[in-house]
Amino acid sequence: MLTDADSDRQAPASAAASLLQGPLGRALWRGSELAGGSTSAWSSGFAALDAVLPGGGWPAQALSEILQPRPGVCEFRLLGPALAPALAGGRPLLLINPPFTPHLPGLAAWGLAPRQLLWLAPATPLQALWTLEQALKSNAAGALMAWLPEARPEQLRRLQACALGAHAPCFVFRPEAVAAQSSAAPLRLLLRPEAGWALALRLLKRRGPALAAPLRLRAVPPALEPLLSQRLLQDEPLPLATPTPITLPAPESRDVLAALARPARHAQGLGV
Amino acid sequence: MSSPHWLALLATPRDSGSEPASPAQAAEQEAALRALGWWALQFTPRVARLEEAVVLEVSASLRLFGGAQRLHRRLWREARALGLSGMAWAPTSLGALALARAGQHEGLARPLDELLDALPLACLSAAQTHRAMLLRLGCRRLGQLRALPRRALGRRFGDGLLLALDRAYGHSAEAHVWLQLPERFEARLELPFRIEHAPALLHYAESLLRQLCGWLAARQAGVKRLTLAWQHDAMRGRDVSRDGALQLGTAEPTRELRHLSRLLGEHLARLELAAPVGELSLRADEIMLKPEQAASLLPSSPDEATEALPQLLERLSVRLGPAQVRAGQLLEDHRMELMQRWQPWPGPARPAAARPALYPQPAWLLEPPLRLDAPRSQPRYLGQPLQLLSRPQRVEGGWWAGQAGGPGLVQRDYVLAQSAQAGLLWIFQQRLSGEESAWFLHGVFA
Repeated sequence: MLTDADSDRQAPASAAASLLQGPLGRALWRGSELAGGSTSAWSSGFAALDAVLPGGGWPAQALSEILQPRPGVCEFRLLGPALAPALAGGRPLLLINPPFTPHLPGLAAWGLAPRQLLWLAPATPLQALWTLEQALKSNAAGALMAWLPEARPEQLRRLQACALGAHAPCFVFRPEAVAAQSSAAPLRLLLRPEAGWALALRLLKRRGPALAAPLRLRAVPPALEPLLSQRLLQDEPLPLATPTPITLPAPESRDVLAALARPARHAQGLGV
Repeated sequence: MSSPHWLALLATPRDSGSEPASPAQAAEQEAALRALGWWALQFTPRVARLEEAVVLEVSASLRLFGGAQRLHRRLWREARALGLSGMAWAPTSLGALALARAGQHEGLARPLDELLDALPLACLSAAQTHRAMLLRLGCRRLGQLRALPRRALGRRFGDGLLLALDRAYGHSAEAHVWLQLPERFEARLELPFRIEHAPALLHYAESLLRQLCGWLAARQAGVKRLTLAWQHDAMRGRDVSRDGALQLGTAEPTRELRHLSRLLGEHLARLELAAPVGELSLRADEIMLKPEQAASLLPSSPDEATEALPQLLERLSVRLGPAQVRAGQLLEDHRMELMQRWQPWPGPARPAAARPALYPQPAWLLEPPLRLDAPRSQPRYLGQPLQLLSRPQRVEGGWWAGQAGGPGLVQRDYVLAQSAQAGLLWIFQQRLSGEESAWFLHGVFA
């Protein structure tokens, strides 16, 4: 049972609580909660991911750091749905130091028009950092993707400071091995492909409480959907390492080889 | 006719005190004045040089530029980059100049006589030459000078002082030689000392760029190509030529000093001078009409670019090399290597439309394709066997192309494969010779 003294003590507390519901609360971020929408965010296209990202999507005015076991594995499967809306204003996507040649016909399937893609290939890691810094400062790009395998924590801190003025989402890809290093990026996640069509995602750092459980996102590249049968597209993981291919006739079979060997026979015929 | 509205623009070098200016400072001031004069021609044709200032008469242009106050603000805001250090307005040009020298601005709100009478003698050059004598007479201000008997003043100091006083106070008409804009821009600058490191040239090249921007503003044009040339001094080696030059190009015509100066800075940072440089010159090779854009009424939004994309990419191409900033174009071909072409930015102005590919296309392309281990015809990647997910897609073509350029004849069966570590891969099988065939990794559905 409450005494009078107790209720008196509680009155200012409840007043403070009601104050926190108002405009003050929106500006305040408590560590136990997900940060609110003080900065704008770009929806990731995955409802499950939006639900755990602060602000409900990929943050603007901040670096998003994505760690992968190997570069060039599943960047667009994760980011593709978010990139097309970010480029809707006609601004370009800058690919800084990508691990492989960007393939325009394949990227077009993600809704990325060829004239909106720019490939920047700096020769050294320092030049790559400089390029990203200049791109962030100019705020002229619609989205930025940079592969910085050798960036050091203090360099990332500087980039994060530059990103505060950039409206575009900026993704920095680094190897999995740096997960233990500190990083100034407010959002860090670990990305791995899984068997089947899923991506496994672990949020290492976000503006909010730690999220222990990894996230599984189903991400089929849109270019592949017409190619795949319903059975293949089913959600359960495919059995790995089957000794024989599922639908392909065995490579040793005569007709494949015959098809491949046609001009050779022709040449032989000419020779004889 | 409306009453005259004279503006005086001063350009004093930043670090000059009361002591006489060094030749270098004088040259810098001269360059700033030339830049200011040309730049001011965009507001009125009545622009003239008057001693160490540029004066312009804007009564006919006030309405066009939104009134006196807005024009003053705009001049002050935009000309600061060109070296403007002081500004005043008054009904006469000498009066405006005297006010500007005294550090005042407003010469129209109150009667000019009152304002000028309070100024020290140094504000009028004609009085300044006789300063010592006038001080002995007890004259310290222009008002005291004007109160002296005219005839005695004329006999003692000559007609020049009387005429200057009359002109400053508006009792006598002023005559000016109006500035003419040269047809072509070419400016040179002798350096105060020899410079051996190219980046150090930027400071002096900037004063030339200022003149260029003023000239472009008067012509309502932007520059597309310009040349910075330099002459080495006599101390150069025997095998070094007398001069050198640097060509700059911009993707879009511009007259923005900041952009041109950053672009030039990037070029100079990569330049090795063969010998010390004694003289610089700047020439505009190609200019294009660039009408002024109306400023937006709305406040700038947070996502507004602080630097336009072409300007950013120009700077990047200079620092990284033109081949490292690439724009892509789709081509019509069935062979994956030839479906696209990456070229130095900005690439072709009108890329040809290409029909979409018939087969699924990966997001990354490996160039050249990576040969995979395939023991017992089971392709492996990163030490793990790959799982093949789709039927083979036959791509065959290029019989018309020789082996010299590109892949030439291609006969491949593409298969979608999955790897536990590397995700979804696009691999193909190709016959090598006879019965032997090999697997290659060609793309990643990343």
